[in-house]
Amino acid sequence: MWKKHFKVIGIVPGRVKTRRYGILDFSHEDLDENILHSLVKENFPYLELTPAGNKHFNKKDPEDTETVPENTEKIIPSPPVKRKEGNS
Amino acid sequence: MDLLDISKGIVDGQNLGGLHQKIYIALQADILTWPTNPDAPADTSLNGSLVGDIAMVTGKKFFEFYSTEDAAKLDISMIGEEMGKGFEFKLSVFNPGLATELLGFINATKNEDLVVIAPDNNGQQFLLGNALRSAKISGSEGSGTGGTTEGRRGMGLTFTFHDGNVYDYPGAVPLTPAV
Repeated sequence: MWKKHFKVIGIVPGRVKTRRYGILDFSHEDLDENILHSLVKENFPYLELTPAGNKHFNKKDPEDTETVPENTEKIIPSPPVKRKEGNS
Repeated sequence: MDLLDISKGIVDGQNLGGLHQKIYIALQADILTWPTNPDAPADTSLNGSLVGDIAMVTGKKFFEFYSTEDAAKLDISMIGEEMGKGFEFKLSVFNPGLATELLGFINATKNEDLVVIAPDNNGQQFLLGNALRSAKISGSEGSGTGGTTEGRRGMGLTFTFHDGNVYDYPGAVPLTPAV
């Protein structure tokens, strides 16, 4: 399943010792996608998102993308408030 | 570089001594690119970790080396004269038994330029070897059949490496060949 969203690069798919998650075996089918996504976000050198993965995770984590949200509100300056004179 | 306060340094109560039971070894010649020392770190928090990952030559990888529990140790000693201080790293391991694969490994590497990664029990990794200097097998203390039936049979190896600074290696260790 994970291979739909991630692609192994630079090595024959197999074992890599990672600092945070210990040894991961990329020849296995049952890897946790959340772990793999966190590795990609940390610039892990042997894994990248496929186009399908990019679409999937960018949809889940819009804050990770550099696109500007469409519903950004324009800031409209308030009109100056006129003070009443002579009442103070 | 700004100096920062040094706190107790124990995270979540974890400070278990010793190394993992597996260290990782490669030939220095099989490393394509190396992690780099921190470049002009702004403060001391950025001056303790290497930057980047090791990349291997095509077809090459790191190999595991098993060590008996509590028989692996990394000693980090400051060496050198005034204004010329550096560090000596001595990594000791013990592999039980005298398997022919072990004997063949020692025969093949005893005069080689090596790179060794030693993970400790708190998640830090120490890289012995860089582009300029290798780790070398410098001794075989405790090796042999043992003198009695209660003796310890196996091979003890010491790897020695010298470097100007001591760093944590936060990168990955490829245990499958590079393509």
